[in-house]
Order: sequence, then structure tokens, then C-alpha cells
Amino acid sequence: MNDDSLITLIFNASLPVQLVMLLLLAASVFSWALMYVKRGYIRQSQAEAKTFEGRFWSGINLSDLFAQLSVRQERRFGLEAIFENGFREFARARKAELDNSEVVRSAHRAMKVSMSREIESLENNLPFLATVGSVSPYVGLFGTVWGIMESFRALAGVQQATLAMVAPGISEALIATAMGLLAAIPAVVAYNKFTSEVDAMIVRYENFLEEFTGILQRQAQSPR
Amino acid sequence: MLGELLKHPRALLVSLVLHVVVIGLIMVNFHFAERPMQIKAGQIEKTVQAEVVDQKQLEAMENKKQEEANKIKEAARKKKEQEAKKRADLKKKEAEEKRKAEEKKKAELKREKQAEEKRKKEAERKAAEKRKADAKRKAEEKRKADEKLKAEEKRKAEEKRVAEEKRKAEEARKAEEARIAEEKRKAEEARLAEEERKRKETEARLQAEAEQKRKEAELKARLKAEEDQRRLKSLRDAYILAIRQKVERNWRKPAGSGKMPVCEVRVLQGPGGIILDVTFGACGGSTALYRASIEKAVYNAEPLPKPGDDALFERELKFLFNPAEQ
Repeated sequence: MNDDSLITLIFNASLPVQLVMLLLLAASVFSWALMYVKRGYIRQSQAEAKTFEGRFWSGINLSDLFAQLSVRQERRFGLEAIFENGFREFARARKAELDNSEVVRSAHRAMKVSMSREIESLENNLPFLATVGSVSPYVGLFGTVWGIMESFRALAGVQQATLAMVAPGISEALIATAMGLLAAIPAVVAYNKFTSEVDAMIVRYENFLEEFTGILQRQAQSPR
Repeated sequence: MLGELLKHPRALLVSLVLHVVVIGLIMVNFHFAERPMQIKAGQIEKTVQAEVVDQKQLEAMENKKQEEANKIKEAARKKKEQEAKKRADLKKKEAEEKRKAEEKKKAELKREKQAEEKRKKEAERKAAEKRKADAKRKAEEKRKADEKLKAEEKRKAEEKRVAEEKRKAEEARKAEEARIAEEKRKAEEARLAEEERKRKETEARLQAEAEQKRKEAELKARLKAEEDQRRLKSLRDAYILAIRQKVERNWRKPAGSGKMPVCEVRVLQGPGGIILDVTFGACGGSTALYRASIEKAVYNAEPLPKPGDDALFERELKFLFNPAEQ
């Protein structure tokens, strides 16, 4: 036990403690990877919403805007998707000679569906971060408790107990707690940040939806 | 969750690299950090072994030790006396033998001295003869050497003279060369200084020209910006005027004859000039009927006219409605 490097300490740990450490390491790696992906997606959504709102309120004719969007091949998401679905439904319902209020209502419904899809893809995987943040300290604690139990049991067979005999065992067991905290803290911070950002995006989508519905309502009243 | 991550292998890679780096840093730090107060196993076993001892036992032991010491001392003294006697006998015998040997040695020495003297005389004689012959030979040799030395000195003097002449000539040549080089150097310096001065002049001129150009460009840009702004402003004025006129055209004078002041109308419009909302700003002392007529006029004016430039589209428009201008 003279060689006190962290590696030997980890490799000397008992199997359950090692398993716990492995689990925590995996949780940390996955949560960081997820943070990376999520951050990218949220940034992209924010940028998209900004540019689309700019275009929408630039005074452009709505059917022109719809035509421009329809030409593009790539998958649409965010405000673009909401607008496209709403306007398509509006045009379809209008062609079907439905009642004005019915036209607006069906467009509104289509947009709601589209919006909830967007929200889902924004919130996707966030629960994993929450789980890592709340559970991994307990998992780490479990590893520590197990390690300390083992080192005390080893102590039971000896006549003259010294601190030097338990200390390495406890030290190695505490690594599990440290790892648990290390995995949990970034996950919790990221989760809080992402949820607040996603909430802001949701508010933005809802505002747009309401405004757009108002515009459609006005347009429905104008002669065909 | 895993599926989503496998779609982004880059994210997984970034995360893995991050972890490897962090773990590596922690390892290094752990190695260097001094370990606080580790107790080594050997230190514990090295405790002092203490025993309880009775006082009486201690005294008896002490007495016994004393007696033993006395005995040893006595024996040593006896042994010493015997040895001293033996040594004295031995000394006497040795002195006798020494004296006899001395006498014998003296007789030997006397004989040797006589033989030595005889040998010495013979040697002196031989040496005198040899010295004479040597002196003669040496004189001859010295003469020859002198002659040689003189010749050598003469030769050396000649050589020195020649070398001196040569050296002087060389020095003169060198001085001349140095003078020429110095002149050249000075000329070069002057030339360089001149060039530097010219270069600086051109630089300054170029800089001044660049500055001038920059200023001109700036002025032009500013003028253009002002021009654009003016154009936009006039376009905007035209835009607002068009809206106002369209609204005023669509206005029907309400029944009754209340006050009809100039009103500030705020219109919230959507894409394509659709009206979303109409509110009123300063509209002192107007009746609700009058305001309703204006609102109706605005809605009748839908869609509102388009601006001359797309950049001028405004979501919220403000204009003054003046019934007298109708």
C-alpha cells in the first residue's frame, strides 16, 4: 500500500466498488455527450427562430413566404415547421370552402400539433440529465458505504488495529463518492440551464402561434 | 438516449476526450501532492521496552560488580612486577654485547682510512694530467665557436635590416589602404543617409496621400449614408402618407356633430398589410362614436399600402388622422 497513486487505489478496490465507479464514469461520459448535442440543438433552434421571425415580420406576403419555404428540400423545424403546417392547413381548409372560424380553428390545431412536436424534440433526453444529476450521488455513496464495510470487516480479524490499516480502504471507497458528485454537478447545472432555455423557446413559439392565428383570422375575413 | 448519442459520434468523442484529460490531470495532481502524515509500519514496533526492577537486587548486583573489579586489579599488579624484573636483566646483557661490537668496528675503520688515503693520492695525480689536456682542447673549441658566433651575428643584423625595411613598406601600404577604405565608408554613409531621407520623404508623401484618400472615401460614405437616410426618410414619409390618405378616404363622417379633433392612431399590422389591432393615442375630447368611425375607416383601408422599400415595413404604425383634410 506504499504506492498510493490513484490508479492502484482504484484497481485495488473490491468488485462492487469498481462496478459503481465504472457506472458513474459511463454516466458522466454520456451526460457530457448529451450536453454537447443538446446545447447545439438549442442554439440552432434559437438562431432559426430569430431569422424566421425577422423574415416573417419583414412585411413579406404570407403566400410568398410559404412558397419560399416549400421549395427548400431540407427538413424544417422550429418556427418554420409551425408556420408551414399552419399555413398549409389554412390554404387547404379555405379551398374546401369551410366556414371562416372553422378555417382558422383547423389551422390553429395544425399549428398546435406542430408546436408540440417541436417542444418534444427540444425537451428530448433532458430527463436523462436530471436522472444523472439526482441519482449519481447516491450511487457513489453506495460504493463508498460498501468499500468502508469491507475495510471494517477486514479489520475484525486483527488483534492490534491501527489507523494505517483502514485508511487506504476508506480513501479508496471515498473515490466513489467523489466520482458521483463529479458526474452529478455538471448534469444538474446543464439540466437547469437547458430547461430554462427550452421554456423560453416554448413561450416564443406560443407567442408566434397566437399572433399568426390572429393574422390568419384577419385574412380569412378578407374576400377570397 | 443511446441511439440519439450514436447519431452524434462527435459529441461522444468530445465527451470521452474531456474525461480522459480531466482524469489525467487529477492523476498527475494526486501524484505530486504530498501525502499527509502517513504512519509507516516500522515506526510502531520501535517503542521502548521498559522493565520494573527491584532496588535491593540492584544494590546486590552493584556490590558483586565491585568485588570482581578489585580482584582483577590485584592480579594485574602482580603481573606487572614480574615483567619489570625480566626487562632489567635483558637490558644488562644487551649493553655488554653492544660495547664489544663497538671496539671491533673502530679497528676496522682505522684500516679502511689508510687504504682510502692511498687511493686518493693516486686519483689526484691522474686528475691533474687530465685537466691539462682538457684546458687545451677547450681553448681550441672556444676559438672556433667565437668565429662562428661573429659570422652568425653579422648575418642576423643583415636579416633584421631587411625585415625592418619590409615592415616599413608594409605599414605605409596599410595606412594608404585604411585611408582609402575610410573615404569609401564615409561616401557610403552619406549615400545611405541620402537614401533614407528620400525614402522617408516618399513615405510621408504616400501616407499623406492615403490619408487624403481615406478622408475623401469617408466623406463620400457619409454623404451616401446621408443620402440613403434621406431617401428612406422620404420613402417612409410617403408610406405613412399613403396609409393616412387611404384611411381618410375610407372615413365616413359619423352622424351627429361632436368634436372632431386630430387623432393619433396606432395600427398594429401583420404581413401583407393585414390589420391586427387599432388603438388611439392623443385624441383630446373626442367622442366614442368619432373614434369608432376612425377604427372602421382603418379596417376598411385593409390591406394597407406597401412601402417603397421592404426595410420600411413596420409592425406598429403611428399616424395623425385629420378629418379636415378629407
